[in-house]
Amino acid sequence: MKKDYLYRISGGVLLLTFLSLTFFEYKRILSPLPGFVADERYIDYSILLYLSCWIIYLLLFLVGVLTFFKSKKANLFLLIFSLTVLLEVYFNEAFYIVKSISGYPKYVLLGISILSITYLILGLFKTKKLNITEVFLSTVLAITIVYFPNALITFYF
Amino acid sequence: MKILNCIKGSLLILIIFIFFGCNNKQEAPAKMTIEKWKDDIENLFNTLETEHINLYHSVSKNEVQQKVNSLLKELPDLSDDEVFMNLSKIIRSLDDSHTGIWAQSKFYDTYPLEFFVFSDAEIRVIRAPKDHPELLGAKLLSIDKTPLYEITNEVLLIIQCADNWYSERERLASYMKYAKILKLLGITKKEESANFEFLLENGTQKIVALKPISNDDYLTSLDKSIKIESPFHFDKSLIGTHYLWYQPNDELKTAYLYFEEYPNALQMRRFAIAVSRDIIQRDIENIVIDVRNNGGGDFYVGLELVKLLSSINKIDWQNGAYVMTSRRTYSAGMSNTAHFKELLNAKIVGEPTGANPNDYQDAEMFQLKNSKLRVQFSKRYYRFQDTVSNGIIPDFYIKPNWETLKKGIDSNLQWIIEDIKQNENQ
Repeated sequence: MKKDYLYRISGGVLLLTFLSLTFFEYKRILSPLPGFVADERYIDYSILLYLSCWIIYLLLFLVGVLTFFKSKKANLFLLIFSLTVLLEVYFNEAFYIVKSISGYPKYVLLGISILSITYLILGLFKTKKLNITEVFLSTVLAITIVYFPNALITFYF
Repeated sequence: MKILNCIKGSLLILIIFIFFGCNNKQEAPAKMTIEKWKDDIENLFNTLETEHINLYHSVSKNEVQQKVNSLLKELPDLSDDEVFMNLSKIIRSLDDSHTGIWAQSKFYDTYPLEFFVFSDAEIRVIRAPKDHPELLGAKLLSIDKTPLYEITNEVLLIIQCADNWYSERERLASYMKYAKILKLLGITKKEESANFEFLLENGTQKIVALKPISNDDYLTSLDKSIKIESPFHFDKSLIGTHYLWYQPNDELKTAYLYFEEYPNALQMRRFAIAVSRDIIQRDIENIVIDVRNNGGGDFYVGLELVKLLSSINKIDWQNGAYVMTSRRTYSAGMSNTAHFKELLNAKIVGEPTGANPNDYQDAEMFQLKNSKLRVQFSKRYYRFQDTVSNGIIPDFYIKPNWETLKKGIDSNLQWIIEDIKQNENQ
């Protein structure tokens, strides 16, 4: 019973983080100046540049919902989310001139993903069961999510 | 236990691999003998003849062959540095914008001065040594009593990769501060120091004895550079990195793009998308692209920028596109300048480019086996203009001059801002 509350609280915190980050990012990306109405090209460019960022928020939302309802798949999505964030932050720092994640959202996401990875590793010591297929597929998915917008940019132009 | 040993062994191999893998110091040249030089010289010209698109476009094969034969004959009497200088002269005589030869970096110990060639009779110090700040703006008169015209004539024979008067003078300003080169050309008496004679800004003459320093210490040995006043500065930039950045000016409705180096194609696409997005958002009408320090790279990457920019409808493509060029605009920098002119209808403002629009380009490098000299050669011929010209001739030629430079005035940018204001009022 006590553990259920813990899941509800963690899921709730993740969902609240999702809501506040999306609100902040929506203002930053799609409505940066008062009175500015984004045209089609502007929206296209915003999608291309920040797609991986939006997918990460979607993953955060899913992780939040799955944790809240104590789903068995919560850990899998937590792993996908964490790997994607770590990879995206690495690409931002090492490769991109134009960052897809910057400012405090970057640190919030990085913090959550490091905590998640620690939680997953501790869980691994407890259960002593490692699903290699899940880890492999999560890594492939994380790489795909990070590379996908770049593939789209190359295709688009 | 076996597993532990195995792990230890693997770790040791990994450490050795990392140590040697990270050891990226320049490979030291072998102790040169006449045979080794003959081998290198043969290899040099064989490779150039095979790989260069048209090696003898400006000079006959016979002429070059004669020079090579005479060098081969003189080999027993020449030091390694003298052989290198002779090779530099032969390669320079090919008159190719992207073919050149360079020694290892320690060859280029330099006097702590930065020159700028305003004209052949006016070579000034634009950055003085820390311990001689009074030399800022001083005109060079002689080095170890060798008069300026003789220095110019001699040094111009060995500069590498120059295309026209502008790039020749740009290279001249660099080469005339290399201690070994000055000594080998007979301009200075010793390699360890030289007496530079200047005409100072206050009209008095001064002789200063300077000692060369290594290339690594060059920048720290110099006084501050002249601060150029500009509304655009990297610290205020909105998007980009130190070699490629963007700053909008809402008041002038102008976007300023500083373009010095080339990232890879994907990075450029992401940059161009972000810049286009910001331009759309701000209703910007004018665009200024600054390629004055763009010495080259991959011009196809520059075309990615052109493609994205040209799709922005809000920019005044009739009057509002400008490109700033200088003698340092070379290779792909020049090629993209031609693209900006043709595809964006940009006005070129500044000096003619250092590279010619119709010329041999697209360089590849190799290293000579024994001497470790680095050699570059052209692989393609590009034609960016219907007419032949020395550099891309600007629509508005602004000749650099000391009086405006010392006041920190950016004449090119000033001209463009005035033009934008005039267009706005019309």
